[in-house]
Amino acid sequence: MRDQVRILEVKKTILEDNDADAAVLKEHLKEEGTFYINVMSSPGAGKTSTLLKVTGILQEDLKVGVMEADIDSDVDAVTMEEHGIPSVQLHTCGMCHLDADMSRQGLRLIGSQNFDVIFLENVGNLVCPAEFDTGAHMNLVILSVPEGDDKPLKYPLMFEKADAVVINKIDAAPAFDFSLDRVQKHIHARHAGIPIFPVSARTGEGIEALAEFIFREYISYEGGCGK
Amino acid sequence: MTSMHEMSTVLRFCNLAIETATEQKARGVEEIVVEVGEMTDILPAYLYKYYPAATKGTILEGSTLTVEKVPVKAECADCGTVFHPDREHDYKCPACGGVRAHVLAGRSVNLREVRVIKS
Repeated sequence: MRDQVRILEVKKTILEDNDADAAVLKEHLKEEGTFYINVMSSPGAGKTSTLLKVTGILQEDLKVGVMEADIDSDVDAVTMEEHGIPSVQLHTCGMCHLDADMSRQGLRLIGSQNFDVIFLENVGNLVCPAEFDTGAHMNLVILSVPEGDDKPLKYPLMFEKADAVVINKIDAAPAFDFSLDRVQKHIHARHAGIPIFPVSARTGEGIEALAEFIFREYISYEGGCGK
Repeated sequence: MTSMHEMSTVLRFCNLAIETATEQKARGVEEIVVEVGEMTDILPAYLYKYYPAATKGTILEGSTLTVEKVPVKAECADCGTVFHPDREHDYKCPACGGVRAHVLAGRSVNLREVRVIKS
């Protein structure tokens, strides 16, 4: 018999698997009552130092854990542990982002059921992590002053996916041509009305307001979990 | 950074295509057609480049990869106009200037079709 070529219509998005995994993970965490926050920024924007400060405040009332995702090394997890914050280090082995499956493995490793809030410090990158749902209940994006106030224009998807944006290194603003008004306008053009927190992880300015916001979000999340 | 990102994309659509071909008990695959949204940061040139390595030893080996670009389509949340967001309008709705819009197309990478060889 002659070979036949048949055209099969598939029409599947390649992220369908990831989106499905993420949805399952989100539900699972809800049953545990664990609030999961995905923190994204470019390298050096201050994810680790901001998380150290915020976690320090949240730990007074909540059990908080941090998952560090990097291409390599464990310097961030070591820093967290030195400050008494339970953490695990995840290696993406060359990948520029974390997907839902890696996220699930990390949550199992840290024992997500033992925590109220878990932060995922994603790979430093404003492009790829925005495309992969990690199953987090909140996406927190950190942008730092030296990077410039035009970043929401250059990385639109990241700011569209953000539920809140932290502007870090605000103490350095006088040294840079950075306008809070401009950045706010650009962020809200991508995602209207989301909260923006100007902070300095170095001086501690604005950290309390950010911690309070996260605490309130946790409380309303927990209320919806029926824990 | 780009190359790692594209490799993960290639592996994802190859796996989908292999699944489809296997389900259909195909003898081989002639061609697969992939749609790449303009808003995905994926460069088709890299997809072509990695395709032979990613398909080696699988049912897809030797098949042709065709990539089609999908333009971004957004629907304005204020006035309902469907438009192509562009820099000229600062990505706003060209009809009412609204900044809230839902992206309808151009955000994903899809495996559109698999041309399988059946004997």
